[in-house]
Amino acid sequence: MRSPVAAALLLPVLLVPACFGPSFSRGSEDPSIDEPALSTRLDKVDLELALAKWNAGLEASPFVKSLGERRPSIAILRIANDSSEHISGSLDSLLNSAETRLVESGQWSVVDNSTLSSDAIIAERLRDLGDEVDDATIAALGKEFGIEYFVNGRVSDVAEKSEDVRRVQYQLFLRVTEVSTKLIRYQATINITKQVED
Amino acid sequence: MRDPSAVHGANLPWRAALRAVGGALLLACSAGCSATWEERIAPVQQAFYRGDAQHAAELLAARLADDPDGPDAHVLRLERASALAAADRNAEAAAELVALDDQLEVLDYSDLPVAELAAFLFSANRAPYRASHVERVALNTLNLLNFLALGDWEGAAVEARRVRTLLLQEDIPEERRDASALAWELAGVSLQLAGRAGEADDCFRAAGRPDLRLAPPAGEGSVLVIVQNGKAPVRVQAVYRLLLGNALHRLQVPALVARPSRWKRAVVLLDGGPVAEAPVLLDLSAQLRARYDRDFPSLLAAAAFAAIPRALAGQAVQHEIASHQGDHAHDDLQQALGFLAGFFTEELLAEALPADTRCWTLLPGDVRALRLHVPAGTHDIAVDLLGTQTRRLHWSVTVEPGGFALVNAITALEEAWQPPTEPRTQDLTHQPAGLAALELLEAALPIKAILEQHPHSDKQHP
Repeated sequence: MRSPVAAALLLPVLLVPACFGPSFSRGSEDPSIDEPALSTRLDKVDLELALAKWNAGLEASPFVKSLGERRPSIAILRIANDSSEHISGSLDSLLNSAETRLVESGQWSVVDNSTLSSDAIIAERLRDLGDEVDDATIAALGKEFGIEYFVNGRVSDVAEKSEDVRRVQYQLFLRVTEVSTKLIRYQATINITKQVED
Repeated sequence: MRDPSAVHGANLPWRAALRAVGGALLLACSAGCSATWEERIAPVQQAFYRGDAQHAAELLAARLADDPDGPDAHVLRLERASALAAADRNAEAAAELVALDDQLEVLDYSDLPVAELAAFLFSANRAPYRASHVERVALNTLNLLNFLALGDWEGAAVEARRVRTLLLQEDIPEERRDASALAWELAGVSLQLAGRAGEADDCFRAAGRPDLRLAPPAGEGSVLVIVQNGKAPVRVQAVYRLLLGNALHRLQVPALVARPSRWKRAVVLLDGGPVAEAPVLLDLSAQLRARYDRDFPSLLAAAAFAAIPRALAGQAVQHEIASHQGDHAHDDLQQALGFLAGFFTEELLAEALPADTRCWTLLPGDVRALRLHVPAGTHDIAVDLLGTQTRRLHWSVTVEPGGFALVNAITALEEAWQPPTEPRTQDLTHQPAGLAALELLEAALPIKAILEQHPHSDKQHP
């Protein structure tokens, strides 16, 4: 008689940890978990919104419409992180997504960024790339990789902090430059604001 | 001669006294008889200061594994980041501090209401750790060094911008911001390396005397020598007395105790020849001391606030025994026992609820820096530590043309561990800090009314 009683008493105790353990969710089953902002860094929702704005602007631009069926070659060089947040990983994702979108549009022949990065000299140049791309790099892009247009840009921010609030106003700036003329053919600025309160 | 029956009789006042003190002891233990922070962190410090940063990091990882979301998690992670960086595990240290940066809250003692501060510092259930402003700025400054050690200029530049935001925090009056020439200088170096010349110039300008500004001439590289010297002061349990009502009461206050370094000067040598003494760019000890001195009246007031329930408990016990109706009713022995039981009740309760002395103990006392321009190639860099003893530390670094290398000397690894000295007990009633504390306390609570008008308030200081 004692054993079943003891077991009955023990069972809830054994089950208690199961009630208080971490719970996991899958975004494919519960899309709402992607929605809330959990930090002031750029998350998937921010990147998707930024990319959608960039693509919509680029594809509707007179420059792209003027290309016709030619499918010129293009590469995305770098999106530099000039912000006060550690978002290099997010910017790599943004770059990859933007490349994918260029491929899917069918309007471009895309030279993969990783192809450029596999060249040590170009990789070093891209690492130190600011807003301006130097003539030697532009020449190398055209001569060695046959690139006609390149995209580069940066994310900057204005970060402010008070006792309880930290607000980060991001500005994503991207532009398309023509290698042969060094002229800017398209550029856009996208604003994203994130805030965290203690 | 005393009647022996009174010694063993049922109406003995000391039996009541023992019951009262025993009850206080039990209450105290149930309230959380716990070791102080300095006792709990001592094994980590012992490993770190004997030069075994790896073991210190392992000890901290084990503590965190036991209670990853506990109230000490954030301060343990700060300590672990220091240990990881000292063990040349900069990537892990950087990741730890980046994650903490979003989570760590800051507590400004001087801005908090007395009751809230008392709840934070003297609660039986420790509140989640909240850092001081000095620690908060140190987080980004030291993380900047992690990224520089990793050669990740962009990561260092991010930390530079974060520290800049902190240093310019607009809701804090300028005189209360923690100026840091080191933070500005390192921010300038990081932004310079990341190719952000304009931002770098702004930071060097803000540094006031830009010792680390000049980039190397063509064909040369630069070596930044950082000397994290000594040990930052730490908080330890101190007992002070303050006249509250009509009796002196025990206050347990987190006191700041200096841990002087063995070395006063750090001279940098390049390929065997002395170059210059590395100047102090951040005096953390002085900053922590200045903050503490400013906050001390608030800390005392909070300690006094926390002492009130203990004082009332002690008074209640004293009154109960003094008014005990037995063979010794109202005689001197009963009065004395009443006083002692009340006194011990208050002391035991205080002993069981130590003040919160948590702080980032593995921080250096000060940070010195010197930037050398060197021809491309491999060089022997040494730092001569001069003081009561002399010690030479060596590194071999290879620098590319236009390249950069970081040498990060942490002298505490050579210093050995010594327990911090507890300050002596003092009566602060008539000292400026004590008077300021009483003012703050009176503003928060009618302390005199509570203690003097309390029906049991007949306890006098012996």
